[in-house]
Amino acid sequence: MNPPPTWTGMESPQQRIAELETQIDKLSRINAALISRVERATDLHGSAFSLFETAIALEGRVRDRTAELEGAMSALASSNAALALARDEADTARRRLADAIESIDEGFAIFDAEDRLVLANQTYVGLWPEAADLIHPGAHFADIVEALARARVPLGALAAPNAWASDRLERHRVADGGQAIPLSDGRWVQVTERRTSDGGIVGIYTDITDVKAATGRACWPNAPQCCRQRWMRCRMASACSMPSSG
Amino acid sequence: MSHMPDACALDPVRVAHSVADDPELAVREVMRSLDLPELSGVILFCSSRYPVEALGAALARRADGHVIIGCTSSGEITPLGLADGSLTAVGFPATDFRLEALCLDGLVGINVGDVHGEVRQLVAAAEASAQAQWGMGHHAGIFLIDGLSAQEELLTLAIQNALGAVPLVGGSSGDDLDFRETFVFHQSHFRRNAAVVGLLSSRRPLHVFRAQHFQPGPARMVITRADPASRCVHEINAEPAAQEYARLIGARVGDLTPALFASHPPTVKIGGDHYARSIRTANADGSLSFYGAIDEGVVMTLGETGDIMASLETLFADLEREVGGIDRVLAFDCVLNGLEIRQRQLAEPVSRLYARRRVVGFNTYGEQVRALHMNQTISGLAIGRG
Repeated sequence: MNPPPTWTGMESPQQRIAELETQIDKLSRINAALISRVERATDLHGSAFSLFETAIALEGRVRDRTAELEGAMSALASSNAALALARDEADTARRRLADAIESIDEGFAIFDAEDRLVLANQTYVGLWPEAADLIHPGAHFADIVEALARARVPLGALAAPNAWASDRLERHRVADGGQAIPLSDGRWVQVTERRTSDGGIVGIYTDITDVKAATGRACWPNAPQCCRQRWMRCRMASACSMPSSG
Repeated sequence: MSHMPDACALDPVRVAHSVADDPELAVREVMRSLDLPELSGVILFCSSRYPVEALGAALARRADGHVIIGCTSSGEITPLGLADGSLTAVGFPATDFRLEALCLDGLVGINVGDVHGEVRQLVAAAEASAQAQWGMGHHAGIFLIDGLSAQEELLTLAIQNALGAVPLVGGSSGDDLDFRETFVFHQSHFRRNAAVVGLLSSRRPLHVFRAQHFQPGPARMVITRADPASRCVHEINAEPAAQEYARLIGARVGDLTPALFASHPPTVKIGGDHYARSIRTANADGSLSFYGAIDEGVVMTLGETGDIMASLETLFADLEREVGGIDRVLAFDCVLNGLEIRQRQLAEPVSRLYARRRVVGFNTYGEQVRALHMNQTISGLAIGRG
C-alpha cells in the first residue's frame, strides 16, 4: 500500500481533499475486507483458503504428535534394550542357581508362596519316580503329595493315604524343621523345610536308607528318643545351610 | 535404468525416460528399460506435447495388469536432469515395494465421505500385505491431481485425514503453462477433473520432504475483491489486482509474465511460516489468477527468491543425513521454480545436482504435502537404500 500522501503545500486544497478522500475510500475498503475475513474465519463451512489454514494448524499438531510418538518410540527402544540386558543377567543368575542346586547331592526343591514348584534338581525328581510326570515348574505341592499317597509310596500311606497326605501337607506348611519319611519300598527320606523371604518353601531331601540300616543294626531300635532327635539335628546341620529367613 | 555398483543386495528403484516424438515409441523405450514384469508398479510424468489418447492407448497395451499411474507435466526431471517434452518413468521393484492405486473421478462436487472410506481401505490393505510380505512396512501416499481442477485444498485435506499416520505427497498436473487441459493417468487412459492416490509401501525408509527457495520481503498487500471459487483476485489494496501487484514489484502491467511471478511470489503467513500463493496468470480484465486458494481479506507478503543452488544443496544434504543413504528422490517441483532456475541460467548446475542426487519427477502446478496444497516448493519423497 502507498503511505498516506504527505502535505507538500504545492497542491491546492481541493486537490489535497480529493487525494485524502481517495485514500480514505481505499483504506475503508481494505478495512472492510479484513473485518469480513476475520468474521468468516470461524465459519463452519469455510472457504478453500480456510481449509488451507486448517490444514496448516493440523500439520502443526501432527508434527507435535509425531515428535511425541518418536520420543515414545525411542524410549521404548531403550527400555527394550535395557530389558534384554536384564533378561540376560536374569538368565545367567538362573543358570548359575540351576547349576549350583544340580551339583549338590541332596534333592532340592523350591516352592513359591502359592506352593507351586519353582525349581527342583534331578536328585529330587529321582527320589519320586512315581510322581516324576507331575514334577515340573508350576506343579502344586499338594498334587505331588497326593500322587505319592495314591501310589502308596510312603509307608504311612499304605494304611491311610489321606491321613498321611494331610499330615505331610501340614508339616510342609509349618516348614520349621525336618522329618524322616519311611517309604513302603524300605527307603528312608530325610526332609528339611524352611520358609523363604518371599513366603515360599525350600526343601532338602536326603536318602538316609543306608544310615538307617547301619544305625538300625547297631542301636537304633533301642536308642532313646532324645538320641534319635539329636542325630537328626546333626545330620540336618551338616547337610544344608538354609536361607535363614522365614 | 541404472544400478549402483556397490549395491549388490539392493534392487534399485528403476528410472527411465524417452524423448521420442512418437508416443508409441516413447512408451516402448521406457517400458523396455524398466523391465515391467519385475515391478509392482510404475509412476509416469508425461510431457503435455504427447497426444493423451495415443499415449494412453500405448500404455494400456503394455500395462499387463501392473499398476500404472501418472500425469501430464510442465517439464520433467529425468534421470539426467531438467527436460521439456519427455516421458519420464519410475518403476518400483516388487522385491522391496508395493504400489496400489485409487482413481477419483469427477472432482468437482465429489463426495468426501466416500473418498475417505476408499482411502482407508487402501491403507488397511497395504498395511496388511506389507506385514505379510516383510513383517513391517513404510508407507506413503502419492497424490496426482488435475492441476486446473481448483479442488486441491479440499481433497488433500480429506485424503490426508483418511491416510492417518501415512504421509501424503504429490503434485498438480501441468500443461506447459498453456492452462487449457491437464490430466492424470490411471491404468488405461488419461482423465480430466480427476485425481489418483497411489499408496507406495516398502521395507525401505520413505521420507516426505518440502523445501522452498524464497524469503518474505517487506511489502504487504490485502486482497480486497476476489472470487475464491475460481481463485481469481480482482482487487488488491482496493486497486485493480494486476496493476497494484506490478507497482509493488516495480514492473509494468504489460510485462507481467510467469517469470516475474516466479521471482516475486505472494506469500501468506500462517502459524508463523510463509507459504507461497503463486500467481498463475495476469488476465485481460486486470485480475490475477492463482494456483492455490485465496480469499477476500487475506494479507499477503511479497516474497523474494533467494539462492536456489544453496537451498537445494542444503535440502539434499539434510535428506541424505535423515534418511541415511538414498536410492531415489521423487520430486514435485513447482513449475515456477523451473522458470526461475532457467531465467537465472541455473538449468545446467541444477540438472547436474538433480542427477547426482538421483532426483526424478516433474514440474507441477502445485505441490501437496500431508494436508497442504502449496506453490513454489520442491516437495517429494526420498526413498532410502535399506
